[in-house]
Amino acid sequence: MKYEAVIGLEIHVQLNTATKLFCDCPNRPGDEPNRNTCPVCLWLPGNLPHLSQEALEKAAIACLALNCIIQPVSAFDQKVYYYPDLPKGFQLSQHHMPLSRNGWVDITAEKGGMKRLRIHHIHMEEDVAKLVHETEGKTPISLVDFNRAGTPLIEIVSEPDIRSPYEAMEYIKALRAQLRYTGAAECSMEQGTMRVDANISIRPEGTGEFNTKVEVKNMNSIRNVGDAIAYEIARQTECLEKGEAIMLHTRLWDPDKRVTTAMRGKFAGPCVPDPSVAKIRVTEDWLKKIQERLPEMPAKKADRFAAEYGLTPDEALAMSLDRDISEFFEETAKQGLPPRKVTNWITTHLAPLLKDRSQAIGETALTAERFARLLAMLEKGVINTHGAREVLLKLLESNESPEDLVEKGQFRQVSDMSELEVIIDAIIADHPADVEDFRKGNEKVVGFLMGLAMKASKGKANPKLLREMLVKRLA
Amino acid sequence: MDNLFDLTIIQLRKMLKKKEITSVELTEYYLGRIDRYDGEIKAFLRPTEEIALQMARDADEKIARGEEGPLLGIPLGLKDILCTKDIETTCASNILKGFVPPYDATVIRKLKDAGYVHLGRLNMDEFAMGSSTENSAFQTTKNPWDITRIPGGSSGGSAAAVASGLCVASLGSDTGGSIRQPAGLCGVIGMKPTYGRVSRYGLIAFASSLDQIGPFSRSVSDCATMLNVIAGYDPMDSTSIPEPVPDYHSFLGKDLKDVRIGIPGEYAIKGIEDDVRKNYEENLQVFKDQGATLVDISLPHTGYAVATYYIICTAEASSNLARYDGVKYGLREDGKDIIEMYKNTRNKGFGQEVKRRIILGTYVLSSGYYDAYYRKAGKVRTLIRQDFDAAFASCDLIVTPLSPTTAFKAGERIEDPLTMYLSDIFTIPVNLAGLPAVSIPGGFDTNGLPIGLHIIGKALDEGPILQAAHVFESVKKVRTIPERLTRWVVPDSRLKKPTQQHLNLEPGT
Repeated sequence: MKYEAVIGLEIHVQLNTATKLFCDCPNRPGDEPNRNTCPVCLWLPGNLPHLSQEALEKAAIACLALNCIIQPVSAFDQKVYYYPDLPKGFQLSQHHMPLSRNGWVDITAEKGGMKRLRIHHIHMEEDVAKLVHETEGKTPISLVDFNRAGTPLIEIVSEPDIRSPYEAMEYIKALRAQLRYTGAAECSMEQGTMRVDANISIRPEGTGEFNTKVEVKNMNSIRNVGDAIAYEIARQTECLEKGEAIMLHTRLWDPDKRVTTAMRGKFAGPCVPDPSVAKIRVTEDWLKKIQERLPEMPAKKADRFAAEYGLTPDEALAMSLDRDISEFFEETAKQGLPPRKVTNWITTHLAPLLKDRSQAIGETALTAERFARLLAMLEKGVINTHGAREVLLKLLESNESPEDLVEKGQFRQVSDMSELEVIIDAIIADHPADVEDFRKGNEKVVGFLMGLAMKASKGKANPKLLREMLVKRLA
Repeated sequence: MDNLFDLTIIQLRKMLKKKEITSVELTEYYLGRIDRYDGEIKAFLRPTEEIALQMARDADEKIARGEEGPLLGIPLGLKDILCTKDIETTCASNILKGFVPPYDATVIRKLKDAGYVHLGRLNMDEFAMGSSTENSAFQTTKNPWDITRIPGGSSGGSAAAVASGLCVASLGSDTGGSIRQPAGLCGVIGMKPTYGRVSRYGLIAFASSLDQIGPFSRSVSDCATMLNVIAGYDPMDSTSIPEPVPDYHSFLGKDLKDVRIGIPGEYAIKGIEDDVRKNYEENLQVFKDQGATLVDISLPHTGYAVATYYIICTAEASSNLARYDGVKYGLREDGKDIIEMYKNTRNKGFGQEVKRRIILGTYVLSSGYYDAYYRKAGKVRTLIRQDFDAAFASCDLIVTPLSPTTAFKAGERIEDPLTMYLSDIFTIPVNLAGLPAVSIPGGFDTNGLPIGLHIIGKALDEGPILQAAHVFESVKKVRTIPERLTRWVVPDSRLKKPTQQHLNLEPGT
């Protein structure tokens, strides 16, 4: 029998607010342990939460970016369970009345075309503390770091629309791109600011039934999510084929062994409305203000880039997926450069450099204005591609002007025919056999000799001119 | 210098200001009375003598500098449920023994700003769960009018201390009657303000949608003074009401003409003692004689209030008390793993009534029962609120008996929680509706035990409630301290020593 997978994802995203969700402590979980705590987030007896407006606003912007409908009234509930990472014995989470419902993101389907994946709802909740288990030494001890306790999260709960590991990974990427655009969240699975749990069940292909699902946790990259889902589909298929029943339970992805293993069941206590956090009532005015703060989102921006700058759909998509890149592109293009040339330089040169350095544009010294001046020199033939690349590397590091860097590094392109003539003379003299080959009709030799000539010019020769002169001499 | 306890805060403030007395003298006076009487009454869990005298000296310095404050130099007692920075706060529970909060409750901050002197921590039912103060993990407080009887609860220490003249006034908390019932049984004034009128920040939570802090005093004037200090919006408590606070003294001295007083038919229940009923009827006549109009009203869902209350308050308590797990503060009883540590700690740390309520609360919230109990209770609560809304269309205040009986004997009901719960029938609906209400001394039964009178107002109508209470107080002049507790005079030696010391600080006065 052929099976298909039914997958739903629950994604926790940390909001990058200045303070925690219910108190005024800094939202900086990475600081020295227990530095960012107060009587409220330690939930000492007598303490009461007060909801951060910034967190509410950022959560709402995130909801809008994922096309969700903000609910007129939402409220927090107490999710009771006992564990030392939870200083008050319950977690404040919007269980019964979430902030928003009914959203979606679009992905490129595996077989091409667009597929829309629905979001059931998005709710706000507080993160829990971090436990550190010290097993070395005479007596193993567990330490609690409350820096993370009470930091704001949103949980994005998808509909079970996802059918494959590919779709799951595309869904996460699309969602991440949208969320990063809003500036409300970093969404790094590696750094734990985005955490994905997958609910997976399988069914005979073509049927509409929903079978017992298994939850898989502990994936710390998008690739791991794909791998864990693929593993789980295979595991469940094998179970069914052996006639074993699937049990409702939670499994952990082991990134080293690349398998999922069953996790011990957790006690789930009651979930009741919290009387101390005021209900969130959204007014139209407020919602309008939040909507105004929502930036132009990638899909819309791609359409505009295609129309305004004449980019191909693929180029427009590439230029709009990341907000920093999209803004950098547009600023550079506005300096009067051919937009497709800018696109090409960002895609083939700048983006890989940033990736190598694990940096965002904003973290480098490069500005759109200086990038434009560099490309302008390239356009005018002052420098060649090789030189431009060398200067670009330097522009990432220092605030010097691209013109100065060209002069200093002697990257100015050599277009002086007499200088080039000298180089060509030498090459031809040194390689009589190759010259003979060319004359016998082997045109590949041009490339080889060009390489030698460029090298001899230390990369500075105007390649177009050099080639013309070389071919003329060989003929 | 006898009978200082008969003076209002306003009168004491005048004396302090004129330097007829110092705050240190006043504080020594009350410490002297605590020494003399509290061995018997057991209202204070822990008097804080050194802190009190230090705060009194600070107050005297401020007075000398001409500073003002509505409570500057006034010694007060606090229910041991209000977190006070650097002072052990236990909620009368073993699980919080040794817990010293690193922060002040908002009301404490307000008392400090007003210049109060912290006399000590007052006894209560553990975590405010009880109606007799017999559920304290540490001691049993006696009713000052008859020490074989209970003072009521849960704020029994706060009521008994004020009724014995062991502090000028005190603060308590009221979830289902925990201020008003002990005030009534001890014959003093106790007010539960509107839910949200006083910040709950720093009040150790029992049932968060019902809890409210309020004052105990022996005069309506002092109740107004205390309320002026503690009321008001607090950004740290999202449920506090962002409305300006009137000067509650401005309501005192007004008559009751044009005031309509509602008499709920449903409150004439069977279990009410004859003396209590008779007293209530007499007291209604007092209001009538003072120009008020009595109106019959109906609160049809009264009969469901106690059941509704015990579902909501236990449900909220079960999660509010989840934080006492031995991990962070207070008691920890080790075990072989974390689950056993939780079990051992909570088993040893909580008393029987607290355990009973946690179990009840967990039960009503458990899956399968949530709709039948908790959700339904929420609906009934709305109906009870609507009862009051409808009733207040035809009256300004509602006057009812405070408790069906006067103070009962210690031990009499401790094994019978249901009877204990039912004794809160008149106070509980007020908490469910979030309304303000006061208990004032209405007179005495044939055994000489105080009978309380209960005045309920619309939301934020603390002023009109105090207006009626003040009229009643002026006319009926009910005694608020047992005569036997007024005979002993604090010896001058106790007062003079620190006074001299103090006067040395201030040459020329």
